[in-house]
Amino acid sequence: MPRQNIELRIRRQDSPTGPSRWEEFVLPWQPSMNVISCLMEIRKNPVTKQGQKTTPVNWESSCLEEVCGACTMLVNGKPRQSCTALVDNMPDGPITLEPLTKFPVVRDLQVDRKPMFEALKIVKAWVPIDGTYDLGPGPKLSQAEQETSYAFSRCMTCGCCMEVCPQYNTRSDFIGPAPLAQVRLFNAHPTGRMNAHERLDAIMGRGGLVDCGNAQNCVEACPKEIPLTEALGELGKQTTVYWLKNLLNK
Amino acid sequence: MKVSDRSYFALKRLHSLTGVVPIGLFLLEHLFTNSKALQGEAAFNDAAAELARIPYVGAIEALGIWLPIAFHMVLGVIIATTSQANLGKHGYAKNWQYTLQRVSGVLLVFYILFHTWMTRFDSDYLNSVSAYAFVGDQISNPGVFAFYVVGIVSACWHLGNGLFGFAIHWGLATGRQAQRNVARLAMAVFVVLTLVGLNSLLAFAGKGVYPDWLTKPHGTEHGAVVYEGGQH
Amino acid sequence: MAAPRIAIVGGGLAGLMAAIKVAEAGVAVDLFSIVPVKRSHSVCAQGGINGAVNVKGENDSPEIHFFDTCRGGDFLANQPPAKGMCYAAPGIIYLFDRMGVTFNRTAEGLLDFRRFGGTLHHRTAFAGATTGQQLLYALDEQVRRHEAAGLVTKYEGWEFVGAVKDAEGRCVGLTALDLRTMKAKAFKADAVMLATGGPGLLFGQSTNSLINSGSAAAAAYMDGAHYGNGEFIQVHPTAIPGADKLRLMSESARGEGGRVWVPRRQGDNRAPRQIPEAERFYFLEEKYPKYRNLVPRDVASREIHNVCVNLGLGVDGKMCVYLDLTHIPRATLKKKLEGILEIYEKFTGDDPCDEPMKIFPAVHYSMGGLWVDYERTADGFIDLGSPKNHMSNIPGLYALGEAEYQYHGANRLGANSLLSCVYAGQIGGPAAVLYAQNQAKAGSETPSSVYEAAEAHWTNRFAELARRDGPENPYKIHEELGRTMLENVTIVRENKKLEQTNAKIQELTERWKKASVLDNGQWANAPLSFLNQLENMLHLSRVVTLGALARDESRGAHYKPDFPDRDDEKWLKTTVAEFTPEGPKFRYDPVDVSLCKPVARKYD
Repeated sequence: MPRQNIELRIRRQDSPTGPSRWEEFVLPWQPSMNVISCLMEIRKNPVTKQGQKTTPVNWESSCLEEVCGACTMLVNGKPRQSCTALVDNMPDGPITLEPLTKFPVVRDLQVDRKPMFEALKIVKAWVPIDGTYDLGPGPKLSQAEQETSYAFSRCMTCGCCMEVCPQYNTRSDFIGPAPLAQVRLFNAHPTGRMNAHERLDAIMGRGGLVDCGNAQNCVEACPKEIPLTEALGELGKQTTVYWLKNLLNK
Repeated sequence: MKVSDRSYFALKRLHSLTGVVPIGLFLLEHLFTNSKALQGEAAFNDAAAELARIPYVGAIEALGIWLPIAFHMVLGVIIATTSQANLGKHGYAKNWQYTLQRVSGVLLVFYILFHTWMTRFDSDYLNSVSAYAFVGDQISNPGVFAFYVVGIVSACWHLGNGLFGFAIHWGLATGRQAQRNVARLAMAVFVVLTLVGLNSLLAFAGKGVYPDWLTKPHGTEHGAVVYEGGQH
Repeated sequence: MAAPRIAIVGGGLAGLMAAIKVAEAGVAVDLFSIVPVKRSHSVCAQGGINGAVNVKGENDSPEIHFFDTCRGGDFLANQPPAKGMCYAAPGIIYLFDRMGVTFNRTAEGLLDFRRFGGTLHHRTAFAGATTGQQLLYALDEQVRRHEAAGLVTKYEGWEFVGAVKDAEGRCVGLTALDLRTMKAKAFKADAVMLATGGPGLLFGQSTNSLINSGSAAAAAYMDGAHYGNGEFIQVHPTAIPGADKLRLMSESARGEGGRVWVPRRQGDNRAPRQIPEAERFYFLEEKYPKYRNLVPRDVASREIHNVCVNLGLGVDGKMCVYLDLTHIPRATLKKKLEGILEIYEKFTGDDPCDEPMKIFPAVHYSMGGLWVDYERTADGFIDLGSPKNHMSNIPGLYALGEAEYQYHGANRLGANSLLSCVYAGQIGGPAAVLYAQNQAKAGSETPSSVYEAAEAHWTNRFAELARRDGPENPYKIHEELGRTMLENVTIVRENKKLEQTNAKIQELTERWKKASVLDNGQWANAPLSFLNQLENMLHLSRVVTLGALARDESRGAHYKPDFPDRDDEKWLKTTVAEFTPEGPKFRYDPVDVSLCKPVARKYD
């Protein structure tokens, strides 16, 4: 039985430093609605459940098919992409929407995930090619290697893993699971491997791999089922070997 | 405290290592010696006395046990303060383990300080004739008994579950199945050590469980129990 | 002369590739994007990227690829750019391979290729069914490398609102709106490159991302840049409906063997798997025995329309057909199509390995876009030493990717879009560098009063918009625009309805003047930005609609039942629209078809 009305409770905040407040909205149910289409309906008539005129809710979204990572927010307390949060799959009662808590709020449901992109710079998440001129094909790769790497290359920097990680917070320097998994990805590539030590150097300091606490929430929260904890284990191995080699050969 | 990136890595790895060697090994030894209490007062007191006769025991104790424990403790508390526990929001099994690891670690700080004081520095203990009797007397207080239970369970959890973290930190378990297996092993270690530990605690109260099938060498009618007065 | 700077707007495949090329030439790049570049619409491309690498022993070649592309586009594309693109394609795929894109592999470890529409060859390299995402990430990584080295400066969360032109009419910079502070700022640049994607939002719901308003390209058009072939809008035959957008179901599903069918009997309500083979109407396979389910998209969409509307055989009586993968082993599907199957299952709850998918046509791509130039060599390739390549009619203003019109003619072949974006960046970037380095007077030497004037103009404009308090809701106006465009300017076009649409757009433009901004705040005010975009979108909608109205023939994606045939004599012409306040003024340019003679377009 589809519901007749959809109730939303949305945590709103006008500016990064301003106070937050809850606003409630009621919308008529329509087929195949998701959280985004609810927010779209609200902006066509920005009036709260109590009949108060308000401003349209601010949120971030782009692709709406769970490949861009933009629309991540807390839906009923869980971090996820709001585009795949289908109204018909939600339990009865109001749907609560809140911004991610581990990133600074820009406005309403929009947060600033810049730290994640900066972390990709720190860990040198790229294959250092000589140039984009024509140099022929790349290295051969087995199907098994491709499948393993593909899983990691689907990370869309959405921030779900960072949100649930108890070690990723303002008290800790930990850079979080997502950028670490990219180290795993690029250290496996035949060309990327040549600079593996640079990436390992980057994650062996404060805030790096050793600040992971093995809560393994990341792998539970990842919408793309990226084997993040396997990456962390693999990096444990790589850093151990690299560290011992350095200790013994220096 | 300012540390270089590389020393930071080394410190954290050392923290992980000391948890297993020597602290983990020490815990095994400790539980082993305590289990002698199942064989009676004399057996335990002899074992304790035997330990005290190890050459260089003072140095071994200070450098091999106290120093690593102090290091593991201090760094552990610092690590625990960087955590923002979120069990309430994300109650996954591994998150429970993560949180309990920190809770047990902090409990152990208090427990170890208390326990070390009572059984190593307290003048009553040092003047007592029988260590066995002293401990038995102590745990006759239900509060102390409960604290011992908490301490033993925490220590066994911290080591058992710590092995899981150890295996991942050092890269011994990388694949999903390997990690799953290590997690199972870690839980098994926790359960077995806890049973052994609690049994030895009961032994000091004269209530240890000590069935023949578990304690006598298999295939012999007559066991090699040397001491008389073991608790059957 | 100061070191040149080039501004690139848009962080999809085209913009990022151009940024890399410019940075590689040692020239500084200012990269503007309304979203973090990693979230650009290129991530949505699923099926793959074409290139005649010929690893399947099929004697494929860039020349055949070129022919397929020309014919797929119904010969409306100027042929030298298309030829250049097809010949560069294998090198482009190799480049991504070197960047670490996790392309699927053959057993030997070589790149694997699959089939796509409009060709008989296995020519499409792919990374699961998220190829666009994988290619975009590869470029994003390389740009980040240049960013870390200091050559690229990103302005993420900035929206292009207009070009800055000097007294001679050269583009010497741009004005952008900071989407947080809502302040407009003018930036100096020796050349500006727009790689701002397509205008899917003109149609309300499409397979496009929500950021694809077409507003930036429309703004350039209103600044005097010409717009080419605007009426050519591709409707993808296979998408999943949703309340917020229509989600693409990649052509690769058919490339891997997916079959399209409807029940033969009207009103047959049985579950699809209960309908025996003999009672299924595989209409594409029956009508096109050679290309079967892999006819070009315009053809497939028209056939679906025919079967559903004219024959009344649509599933559930709707514009809906089955796309059936259930005969393919689950393991194969998982390896090659995982991303899209996951999307289908997440949004419909049905597992496409077990149940035939219900799919609908949806607006997908604009072949048209900002008009750009090129310079050809005698043998029909692009002269790579020319600064004209990808330059609009405004000197110093370039356009790349879906925002530009040049490669696909009247219909784009599947998996050619990623290719055209990357190729555009590859040749457009160096062209802009050449231009910037060879100006007698550098753009950046323009007096600062020019920039101050531009900044003041846009500051006033947004201040005025921010005070709007009329009775109309801009999002509702947009909804109405989308509905009317979708109904009248997609698969089937009739002149009467196009005229009505034109009138409707003008009515909406009047209503836009009475629209409220909804939010008077000065921080991260999305409705304010949208209100500005909406006016641009209304202008661009008229380019599409009136272009379609004028073109009395059927070619590629443009189909008029009243004029069902292609008319090369009259209409083998590029539509070029020029902005006037009263509406677009059209001009028709000849098409360079010197390399591949137009033939009848047949796929049966």
